[in-house]
Amino acid sequence: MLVVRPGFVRTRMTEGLDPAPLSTTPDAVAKVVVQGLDRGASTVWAPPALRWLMLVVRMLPRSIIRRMRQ
Amino acid sequence: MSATELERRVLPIATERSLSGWGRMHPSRARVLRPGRAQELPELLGSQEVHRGGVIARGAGRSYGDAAQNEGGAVIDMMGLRAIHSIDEQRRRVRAEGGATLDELLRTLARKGMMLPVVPGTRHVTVAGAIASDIHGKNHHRDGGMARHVESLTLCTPAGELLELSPDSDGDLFYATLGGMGLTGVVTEATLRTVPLPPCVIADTDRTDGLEQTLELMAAEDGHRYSVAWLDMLAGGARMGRAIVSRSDPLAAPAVDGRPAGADDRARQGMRLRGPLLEVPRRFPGFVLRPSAVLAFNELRWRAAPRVERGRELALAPYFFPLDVLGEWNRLYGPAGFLQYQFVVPIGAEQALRASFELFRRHRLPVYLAVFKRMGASFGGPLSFPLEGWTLAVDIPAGAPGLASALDELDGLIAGCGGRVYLSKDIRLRPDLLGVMYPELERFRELRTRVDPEGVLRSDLALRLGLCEGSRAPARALREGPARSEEAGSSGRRVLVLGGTSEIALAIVRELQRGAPREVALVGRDMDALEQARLGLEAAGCPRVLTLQLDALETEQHAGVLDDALEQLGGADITILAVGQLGERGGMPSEIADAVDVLRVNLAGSGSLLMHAAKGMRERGGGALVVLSPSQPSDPAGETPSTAPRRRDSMRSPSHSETTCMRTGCGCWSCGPGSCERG
Repeated sequence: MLVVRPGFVRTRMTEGLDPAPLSTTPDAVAKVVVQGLDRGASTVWAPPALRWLMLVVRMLPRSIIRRMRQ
Repeated sequence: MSATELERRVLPIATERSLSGWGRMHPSRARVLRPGRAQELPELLGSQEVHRGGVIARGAGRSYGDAAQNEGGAVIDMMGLRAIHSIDEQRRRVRAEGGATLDELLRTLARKGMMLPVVPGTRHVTVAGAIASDIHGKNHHRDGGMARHVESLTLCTPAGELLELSPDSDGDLFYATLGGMGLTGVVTEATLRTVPLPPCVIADTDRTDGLEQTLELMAAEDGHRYSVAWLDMLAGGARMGRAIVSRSDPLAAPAVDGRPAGADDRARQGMRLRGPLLEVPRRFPGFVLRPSAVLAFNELRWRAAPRVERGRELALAPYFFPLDVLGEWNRLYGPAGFLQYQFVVPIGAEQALRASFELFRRHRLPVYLAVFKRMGASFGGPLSFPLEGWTLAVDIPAGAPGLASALDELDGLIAGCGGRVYLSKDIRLRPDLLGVMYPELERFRELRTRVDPEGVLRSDLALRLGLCEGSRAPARALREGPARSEEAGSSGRRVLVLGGTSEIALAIVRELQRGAPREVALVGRDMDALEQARLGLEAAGCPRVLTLQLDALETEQHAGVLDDALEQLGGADITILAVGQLGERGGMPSEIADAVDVLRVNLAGSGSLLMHAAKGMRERGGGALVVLSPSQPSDPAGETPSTAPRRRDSMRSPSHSETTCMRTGCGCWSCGPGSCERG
C-alpha cells in the first residue's frame, strides 16, 4: 500500500486558485509515486520536501496553528 | 455391551479444534483427544477414532511450525499426562510422564538440589516434546542435546504396544525416537539424567566487532559450559557478524555435610520463576514490530551492552529462560504470526555462514531476534537436528516482503554446505531438500515402516515433507507482502484506476507505461472524459485501455463494478485510487448542503471504493494500492474558524480512510493535506 501525500498540484481542478508554496505538477507526482512503488515505500510526499515541512507543522501546538489561520 | 459402546465409554471424547504452532501460522483443524491416564493411551492409539486421518501427539504447543497438528485427523493432547513418578537422588535420575512440562520438572528437581543437564530457551515445553525435538540449550558444545540425557523411555506404538526403549533395548527405535518428531510413536514416560543445581552462573559478556571475533570467542577450547551470542543481522561490511557474546559457567558450590552441592536456598530461589512479568494481550497489533522499530531496537540493544564484562553472577531462571519473562510473547507479531528459521552449518562452512548473513541483509528481512550458538557432536536419531557446527535462529514476521524466496535461497545454501534446518521450527521447507539435509532419512523411513506399517502417525509437517504416506497436503505458500526485488511494486502489467479522469492518476499511468507496457482499466463517472483519457493513454502506448462507468456516490454499485473491472482486466497488479473533490476555492463550501456533498464523495465514496478494491485485490492474490484521494478538503483558504479545530484533529488522528482500511485488514493510509483531483 502506497499513500501519496502531494502538496498543491496544478491541475484543472485547482485552476483559478493561487498556487501555494511548494506546488507541483501531475507528472512530478507520478515520478515520485513510481519511485515509491519500486522502493516498497509506504508513504511518499510530492514534492519530497513536504515530508519535513508537514512533520514540523504537525508538531506545532494547536493554539499556534489556529493563530496562523486567522 | 457391544465393542463400540465399550470403546466410547473408555476413550476420551474428541473435540474438534483449530491448532497451530507457537508461530501461529497456518492453523489446521483436528479432532483433539485428551487422555487423563496413561493406561488409556494404548487403547486410544489402537482405536478407529484415531486411525481415521492419522494421529500425532501434541504437548505444550511450543513447536514453532506445524509439527504438532494434523489437519482432518486426530491429535492426542498430552497435557493430561504430567505426573512426575520418581526422583532417584543417588543415581541422579528422574522419571516423568510425557506431558510433564520442564517447568514442573525443574521446580520439583530444584527442591532436591538438581536440575536437567539441558534446557531450551523456554521451560514451557513438555518432556515428550523435548525428546521428540531433541532440544538443545546453550551448552550443546559441551553436553549435547536432550537426546544424550535420556536413559530410557516408554513408547506407545500405533499398534497399541508399550515398548520400554533404551540404548540396549531396541536401540534403533530408541535413537530414532530422539528427535523423531513424534513419528515413531507416543512417548508416554521417560527417565532423564540430572545434574547438581548450581547456585547461579558466572557470566562473561563481550561485544565483538565482527564475525571473526565472534567465532573465535565461541570456539575457544577452554570454553565455558554455556555460550550464546545475540547477533546483529543488520550490520554489514567489516561489522558483519558483530555480536554480544555471553559465556558462562555454573558456580560450583562445595558440598556441605554430605548434602548435594547447590541445594541451598539461593539456588532454589534462582531456579524459581515467578509467573511472567507481563503478558502480551490477545489482539496485539502486528505493525509494532515493523522493520524500522526492529532496526532501532537492534541498535539500542547493541549500544546498551557492555564492551567487556567479567564474572557477573546471574540467577539461573532469567539466564536460561529469557523468553519466559514475557507471557504469550508470540502475540507480539500480531495475528499473521511469525516463523522461526533455525539452521546449523558444519564446522568449516563459515563461508556459508557469511553468505547467509549477506542474504538476510540483501532481502532486508526484519530480524528481531538472532540467536547464535556453537553445537557439539550429533547424537540423536536420523531426524535429530544438532550437528557439530554453528547454529543460527532468527524470528521473522510472517508477512515480511520477499520472505518465501529469501528462505528458499537460504535452504539451498544451507543444504549445499552440509547443513540443515530445524524441523521443530519449520513450516515451509520443500520436501526435495529434506533428504539432502538429513542423509539418514531412508533409515528413518525403514524404521517407521517397521513400527507404523499402516502410516497412522501423521502430522501436517510429516505430510508436507513426505515423511509419511497419504495424500500430501500441498505446501501452503507463505503469506507475504510484495517482494522488494524483481516483483517489486511498479512492475505489474495490469493497472486499475478508480477516478479514471484524475490528472495525477493518468500521469502515474503514463509514467508506468514508460517503464513497461500496461493494460489499464479506467473507472469514473464522466464517460466522455474517460474516453478522452483512454485516447490519451493509447497515444502514450498502452496496449489495452478499458473504460467503466461508476459514480463514487453510488456506493451500492461499487462491489459489482469493481468485480467487473477486475474480471475484464484479469486482476490488478496496481490499483490507483484517485477519488475526491475540492469544494469552492479549495476549501469547504459555505453552504452546508454543498459541504455534505463534498464529504459524501471524499469520505463515503472513496472509503467504499478503497475497501472494495482492497478486498478484490486480496482475493486475486494482492498487488500494490496507491491512494491519492484526499479524505479532507485541503486548502485552508476557505476554512472558517469553526471548522479549524476539527481539521486539526483529523490530521493528528488516523483519518477516515485509514481506519476503514485497517478494519479490512490492509494497512493503507489516506492522502493528507494537499491534493485535489476529481474522480
